[in-house]
Amino acid sequence: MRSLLAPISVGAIITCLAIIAQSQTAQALPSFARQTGQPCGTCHTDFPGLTPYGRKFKILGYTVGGGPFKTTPFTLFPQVREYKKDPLDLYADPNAAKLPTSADVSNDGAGQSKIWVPPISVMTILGYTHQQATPAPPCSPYPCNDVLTDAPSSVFYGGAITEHIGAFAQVTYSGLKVPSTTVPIDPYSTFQWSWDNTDVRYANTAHVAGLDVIFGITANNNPSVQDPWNTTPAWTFPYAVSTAPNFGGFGPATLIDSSLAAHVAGVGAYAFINDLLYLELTGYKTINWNTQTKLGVDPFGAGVISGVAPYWRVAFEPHWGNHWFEFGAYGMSAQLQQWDTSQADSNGFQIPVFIPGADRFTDTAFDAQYQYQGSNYWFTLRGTYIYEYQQLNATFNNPVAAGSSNPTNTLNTFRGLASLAYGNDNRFVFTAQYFNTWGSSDTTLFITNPGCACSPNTNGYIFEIAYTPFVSSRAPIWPWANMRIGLQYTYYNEFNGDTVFAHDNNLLFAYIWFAM
Amino acid sequence: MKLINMRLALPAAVLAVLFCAERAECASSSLGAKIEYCKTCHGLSAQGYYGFYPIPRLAGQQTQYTENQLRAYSEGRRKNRYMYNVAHALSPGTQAALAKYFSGLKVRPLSGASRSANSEGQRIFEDGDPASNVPACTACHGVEARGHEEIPRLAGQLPEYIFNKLVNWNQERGQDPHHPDISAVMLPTSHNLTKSQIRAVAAYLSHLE
Amino acid sequence: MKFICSNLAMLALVASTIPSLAGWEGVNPRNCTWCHGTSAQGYAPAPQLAGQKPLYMENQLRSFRAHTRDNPFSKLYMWAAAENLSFDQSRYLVLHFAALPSKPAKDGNQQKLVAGRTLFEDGDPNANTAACAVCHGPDAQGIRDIPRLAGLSYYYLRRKLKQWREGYHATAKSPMPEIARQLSRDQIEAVASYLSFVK
Repeated sequence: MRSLLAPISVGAIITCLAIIAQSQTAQALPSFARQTGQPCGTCHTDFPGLTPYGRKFKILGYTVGGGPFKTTPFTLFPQVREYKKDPLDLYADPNAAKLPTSADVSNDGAGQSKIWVPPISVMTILGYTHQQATPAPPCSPYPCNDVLTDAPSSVFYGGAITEHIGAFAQVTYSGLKVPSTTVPIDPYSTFQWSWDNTDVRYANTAHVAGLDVIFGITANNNPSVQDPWNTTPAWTFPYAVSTAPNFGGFGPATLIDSSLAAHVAGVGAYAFINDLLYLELTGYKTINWNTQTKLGVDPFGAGVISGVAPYWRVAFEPHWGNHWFEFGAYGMSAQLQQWDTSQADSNGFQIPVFIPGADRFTDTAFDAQYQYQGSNYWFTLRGTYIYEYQQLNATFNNPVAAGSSNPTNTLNTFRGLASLAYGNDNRFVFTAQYFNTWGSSDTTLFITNPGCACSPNTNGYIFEIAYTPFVSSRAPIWPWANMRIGLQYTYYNEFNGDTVFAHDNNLLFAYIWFAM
Repeated sequence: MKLINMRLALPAAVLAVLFCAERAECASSSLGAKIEYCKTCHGLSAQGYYGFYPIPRLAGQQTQYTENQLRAYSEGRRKNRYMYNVAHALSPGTQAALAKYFSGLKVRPLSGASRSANSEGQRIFEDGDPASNVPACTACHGVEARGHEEIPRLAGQLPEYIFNKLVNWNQERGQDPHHPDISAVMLPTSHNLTKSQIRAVAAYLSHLE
Repeated sequence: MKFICSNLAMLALVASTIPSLAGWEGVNPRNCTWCHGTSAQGYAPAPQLAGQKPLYMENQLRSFRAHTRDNPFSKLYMWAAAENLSFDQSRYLVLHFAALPSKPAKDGNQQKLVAGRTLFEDGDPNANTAACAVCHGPDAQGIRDIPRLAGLSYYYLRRKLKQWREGYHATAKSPMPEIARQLSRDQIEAVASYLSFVK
């Protein structure tokens, strides 16, 4: 596959990144339900979008317990054995109503002695994709349209490791092997398993100057995967997207829009002050070339960060009654060395060589979210706007062939959605999202046909109806199993700068998403 | 919360007048509504209730005594902020009707019925404490502690309530020096009994039916 | 020697962290504070636990386990939260929270404070509404199994009173559903507003 890319410009790579960026997967884990004892609906509204409690669980480092199993392998908390006598005088009142004793409690013994079960979960998404206009071949080994997929499938470690350290770690089987058409086999076409969204955190609480503070450290592999508001790119709607090979995606993605996912590792610190103000600063570096291949990631899938790329996040979430209102900003700045795709070995496979210089991407974004909790539903509004300024010092000046027609470009992404999650027991979720990507025209980067407008502009709507049967009640046989049956329709007004044939990409995606 | 058990306690003819199955059915001035109002604090069967303050039992209380207290509250001779508000809004006719109603209620003591010998409390109640000039309580309150006319029933009363009243007697009763009342008769006794004696008597009385 | 010592030290360190895969799980108040607020002052629908009466809280945990307390949020959150608590763990937690200092929520309607205070302290004799203070205490501090109301969130108090009017249940012996049914909407908003400011 790599050998075919030799003449293709960086623009194609960016488009590929866009596709990868959209294959976002689960953030909801049955292992979290086992750990806390809470049903899925406590933390999730538009599954797997988060409620305020889900956000707290995440900010606290995935370490909250309360379920039928031991939270961590270690027993670190006070051991409550039995109370022979009230330790405090709080109950010692001559008029006290008769105090309950162990004998009075019928469910006594529950939770007295627990076992630890590793917080492993698995998921898979079965999907059916129908595109309005059948894409042109080659599509083999899959049909060109009406594609059935069983990807992605993932295994997760999700839960506490110690009282203050927890992790969300995902390993994904992409399943869709596109067989290499060359002999010998292209080494980068054989990855089946790869590491996916991973966030390991340390979290603790403190009381500073009369304010409650939750503070922590995050180590993760995808800028904004650690963010608890589902407005930032790593965990935003749509959560399940078609993995059919010819699915066109939602347009080119800014750098922060999951373009570096799995290629980088970052460490950062954050604080959530008084349940109101969230501050975070994280620095990312690209993972070593060999390590990426061992993790199942194609190292040529993204440029390499020079030095450390900072990611910052500010969010303010006032709340009153059953209303939560969040508004914030986030961003990232990275200097990327770009791969020279013309460099190949004797078999025609790409070798790791950079083009001279580095591109600089500066992303600045704003987001807002409103949530209202009714007695039987959640209503959510979310919006985000990302502005990216690209200084294509390397790409534009590529001595082999200029990778862009402009030395600088801008790229904008806007997403706005409304979602209603109705019903506490069996939750129906209705979601409508407007997405829009627009930016500088560039006849090298975005060339689709001669005389094209050559812009990245892609916009449209996504509508989804989903049903999750076990929101507050438990599944039979295996109480932590759940599934989401969804029907998603994507309508394109404009696709990669073209409005005439945009509707050809309109997509119907039906899926059943299993998790246990 | 339907007063199903209470419906069994009174004749059917009375039920129609006195009982409102749901509060909304009664005019707020009706006797039925007033009875429900009393029961909010004094207990579903007027057996008393341990709120922040011990709220006394009204079931089986002497009619004359109850009437006298309601009048004393509304006239300010007996000082209690909450009962002043309550009694103030009741007409004398309603006060009399309520007193009569509650006197007819029968219910087990809140502290539980037992005649297990509480020797000191029983002794003080039946014999008094001559050394401290405390007469036998039975002389006025009756051997069964059920009282008579303007002398209150003590049987089954909340012990903490009895204790509080005796200890605070002159801070609560007889508050109008221009209109002294019968409550003055308990003043010496409340004074002469020690706190532990009061506790013992109260405990004994609380189990009487 | 140094080699052996350092290796023994390493071994000891590793051994001390060998997980015990079965055994007593202690009870961490954080299992409650992630929803009830980091210092247990309450967070949105979840009420303040700090300074609440321990016997009251114990009774509530028991009623969640027995599914007596059945309003939507109790069902969604608290039934699961109480399910895995043993009697002794419940008692440990309620004593822990009872001892914490509390801060009033102060999120009521400031226009209704006077009316709320009057209703709380004196009731409304003409409407046959008893004074809340008789049971809940003159400062709404509660006692034994009667909850402290001082400083609880206006939204929480209002919701509870409204839910009782709608027919949801309290713990088995609580008189509150009947009492709530005789309160008007204005009275509920007034008393809930007032209480949210009481220290």
